[in-house]
Amino acid sequence: MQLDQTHVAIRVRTLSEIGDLALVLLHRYPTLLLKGFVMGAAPWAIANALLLYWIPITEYQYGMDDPEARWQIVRYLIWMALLVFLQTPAAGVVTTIYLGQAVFESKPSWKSAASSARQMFGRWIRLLGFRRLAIPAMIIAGIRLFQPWNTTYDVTVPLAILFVAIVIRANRPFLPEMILLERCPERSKNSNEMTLRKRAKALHRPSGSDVGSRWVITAATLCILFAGLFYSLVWFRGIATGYWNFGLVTLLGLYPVALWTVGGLSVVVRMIAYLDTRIRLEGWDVELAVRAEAIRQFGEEVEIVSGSVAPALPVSGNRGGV
Amino acid sequence: MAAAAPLDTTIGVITPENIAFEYQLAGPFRRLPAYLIDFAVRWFVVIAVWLALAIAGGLMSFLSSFSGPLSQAFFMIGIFAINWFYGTIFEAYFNGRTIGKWMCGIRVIQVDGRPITPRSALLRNLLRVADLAPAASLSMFDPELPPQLVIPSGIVGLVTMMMTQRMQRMGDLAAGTMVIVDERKWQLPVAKVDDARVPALASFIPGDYLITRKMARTLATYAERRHFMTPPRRREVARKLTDPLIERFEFRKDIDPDLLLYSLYYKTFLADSATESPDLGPLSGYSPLAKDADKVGGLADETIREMAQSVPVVTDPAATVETVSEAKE
Repeated sequence: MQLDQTHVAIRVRTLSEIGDLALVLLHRYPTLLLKGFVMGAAPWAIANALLLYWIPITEYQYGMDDPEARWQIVRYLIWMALLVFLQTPAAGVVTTIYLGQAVFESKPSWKSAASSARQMFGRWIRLLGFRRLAIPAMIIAGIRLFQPWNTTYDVTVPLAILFVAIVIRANRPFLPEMILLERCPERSKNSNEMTLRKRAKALHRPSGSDVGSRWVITAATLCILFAGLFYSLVWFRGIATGYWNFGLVTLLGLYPVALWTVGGLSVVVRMIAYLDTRIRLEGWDVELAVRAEAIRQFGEEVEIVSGSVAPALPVSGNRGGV
Repeated sequence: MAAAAPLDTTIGVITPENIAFEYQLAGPFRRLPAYLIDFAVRWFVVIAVWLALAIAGGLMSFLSSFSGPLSQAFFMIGIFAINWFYGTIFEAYFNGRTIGKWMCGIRVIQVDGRPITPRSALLRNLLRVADLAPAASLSMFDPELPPQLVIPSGIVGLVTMMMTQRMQRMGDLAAGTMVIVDERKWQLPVAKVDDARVPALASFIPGDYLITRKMARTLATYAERRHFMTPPRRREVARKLTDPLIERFEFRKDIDPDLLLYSLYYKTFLADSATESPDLGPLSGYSPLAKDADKVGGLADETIREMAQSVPVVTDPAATVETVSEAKE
């Protein structure tokens, strides 16, 4: 295996090329990516069902036509969208590790990706689940279980959470990849050691406006894609069954499916955008070429013990990392 | 699942003349801006036609019944013709480009690499409506509005592009076409060496050290991209190769790794093309060799570095275009 002969071509790309490459990856690994993302998203989707499905089910029993029912359905739609948005990075943990392997290997393994995710469970659940507000938002939704509509809890709070989450994620969009692939320690007594905080700052700050604007454009594109996908699912259901109403199947099935599908695509896009940022900012492709040349000429790599500016991407055990 | 070539948005094409090309495919996200531009152009033309007809109708109303239903009929025919044949005419007679595609640097070709034919252009543009399906109607938002399907979702086209190797939508599949990025092949710019320490250090690299083709490519990539990296990052990347090279060349340990890799680049691509020996200026007489370590100064010294920056550029980079391009190939 030569480091500069990656399974995914490593080069600087535009944002539209990143989107297209994400589709190429989905074309190449459709079943595997679907399986991996479903594996990661299933626990979160079940939790969302337990927290929110009571709203449309209750309203359906009383009839969906009165104004109160409409507000409750809006409440359900808002909370479901918010929770999926917040949970997607955590749900995409296995997919991210798998894609990290797919960069170098033609046959990456789900088993090793799932095993790595299990090993790092405490770390990513703390950082992606709690700090990125997915679990706090679920707790709030849980407190409001079977409670009537309340403007503060069902409009103001979700909007505030959404705003804070957007600020956090637009500033540090690649934190999930850093946690899962670079594996820098969160804290260190050695001031020379690269911690997660230093690393996140080093990667995001120099290209902050670029990374942030790319995140915003990607998010806007994914929102449009979600609208198209959701409408298409409703349309296909209407064509197939003759039912065009906005009933339980649409609310409980098609709506979450559309949200999670776009969430899954966002994980793939973010992973490629992360590699692209490393290539642009840190010359990661150059590093791979130089390391490969060192191995060709001298048979072994020179290990940089400390003071590393940018850690390598440790995608599997035999390649090492920081 | 395994593939010999790395996964990318490129595709190899062998023409009927048995010439192999590699094209970069334009997927849905690359095509979207072109589509939006074409959409704007089409409706700009529609509005222009409407204005022209309104003026003509106004002028001719006193002569005939041109205004009213007849001008409306012309207008509707105009909208139909512009929306359905704009893409066909442009792609057929403008080498596979519409205005939007031209502005976004993409074009349509046949899957065998030949230019698109008028028949293929017609077919792929007629099927656009299927690719934009399912479309939503305005009445979804307000029952008072007419039930016209004017909001396309484009999911059929997106799914088809995702499922095909050449990122073809249904129109492309039917017409045997694909959309590619119409850019000239990327080539490395020639790195301009303006640091006098580089030729000085390059002159000490042993003559028996052979640069392989892959090493030359690595050096060319490094020289091109080093300007985008911070000095600590350059040193970190270069050290992975230069630490064993320093031992092999019997250089001093304090040689800057970035400088050594850049010197290798200079020796590989630029040194032979220089017609005159480089003027080392204040660096004359200094040696990077470990055996000369007792001598005063050296290439890693700050004072020498400062002196070196004042030395002018020592080579003619224009003479190296072919060499660098060759290495990249």
